[in-house]
Amino acid sequence: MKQIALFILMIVLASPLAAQQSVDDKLYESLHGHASFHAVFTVLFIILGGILFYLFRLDRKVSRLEKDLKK
Amino acid sequence: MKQNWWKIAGSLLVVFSLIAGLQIRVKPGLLNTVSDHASTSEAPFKVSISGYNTNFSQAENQVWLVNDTLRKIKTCASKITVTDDQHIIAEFPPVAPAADPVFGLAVYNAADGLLFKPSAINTADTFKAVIIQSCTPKVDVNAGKQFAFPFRYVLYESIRNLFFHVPMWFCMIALLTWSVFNHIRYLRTFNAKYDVIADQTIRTGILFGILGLITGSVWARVTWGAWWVDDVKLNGAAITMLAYLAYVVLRNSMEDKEKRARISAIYSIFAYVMMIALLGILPRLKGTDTLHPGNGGNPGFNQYDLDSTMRPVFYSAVAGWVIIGLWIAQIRTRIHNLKEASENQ
Repeated sequence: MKQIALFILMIVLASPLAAQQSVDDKLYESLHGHASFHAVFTVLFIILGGILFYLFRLDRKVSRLEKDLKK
Repeated sequence: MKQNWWKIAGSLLVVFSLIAGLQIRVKPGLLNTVSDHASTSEAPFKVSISGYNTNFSQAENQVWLVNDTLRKIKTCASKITVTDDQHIIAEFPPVAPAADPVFGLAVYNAADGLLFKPSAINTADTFKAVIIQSCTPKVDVNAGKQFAFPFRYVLYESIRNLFFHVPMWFCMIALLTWSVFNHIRYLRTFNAKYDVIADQTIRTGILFGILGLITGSVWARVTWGAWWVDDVKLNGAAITMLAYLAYVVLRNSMEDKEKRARISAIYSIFAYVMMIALLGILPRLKGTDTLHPGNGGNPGFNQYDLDSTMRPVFYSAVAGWVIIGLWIAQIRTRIHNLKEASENQ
């Protein structure tokens, strides 16, 4: 449950990046010129974040397994 | 190390697609064109043009208005003032529209090549039966060729998402295909090994499906204006994800191992057929209303959109992510097998 909550939190954190499309033109000007670049940024953030999060969960599974094997 | 070469290859492909997908520039284009007069035929008027990734100050510019849809009647600017690389002010003589009260605008210079914005300037005038002067700008078709991603209105920089959002779906479909293949193998041999592989692969596929949905939603917000639009492909993808989440629930609810394996294999085959119908066939039917390229009569990422610059990056992203997906599925399978072994001890 905790993990799902964390995942949702991540998405919520990422969404303002997409909402500020017109307001934050200046912020992204230095990166790649156009405000639409933030969509690329957010998408990358979600993919890498999602995969890393998934790997952490896998890691936890393995740790639990190791504990069981030691007993 | 010998067995791991494909994992290294997959990682390198993904890293390449990340670097190339973010580093390569987008081709120059015209962003905004604003006229200082509502009418174009009463007096000379000035148009301020802002370009994107353009090099206006590096070569001599030609600016002209295109009066008709056939792009044959052209009106050249009488005076061009270059402010900087991205900004130009062009003065035009009075001109009446040919048929529709809209002009296209073209800028040409040797560094950027030909840049064109359709329906760039609206005029308050209607067609008047006057002779429209036409000029002939000198244009070298090969000018401004550069290794860059295409400039597309609406998409702009977000065209790069093709390398990040689309491979998620390719990866999910590849994983689900691999799992249905293993489920069929299970039904033929009743070897529990295949059941485990198929099950763990589906669970990895769901991860990529969810990532595809979320990233697609972000992209849709920027290009289509809403987080979720009423689109056959979006709804089909959502239903597919629900069907596979139902698979997980169904499988977890059964205790008996053999019964569980058999029922999930059969369910998986049906879910796979449904996925192919929802994502691959229904959106492509004629008359379907969809915003996705390549579906429902829309042009796909074909020779115009998926051009020779994007192709290598896109294909390596797809191959890389598919390999990473299979890798994660393999790790999951190994963990599961270890767990089973420890339980049986």
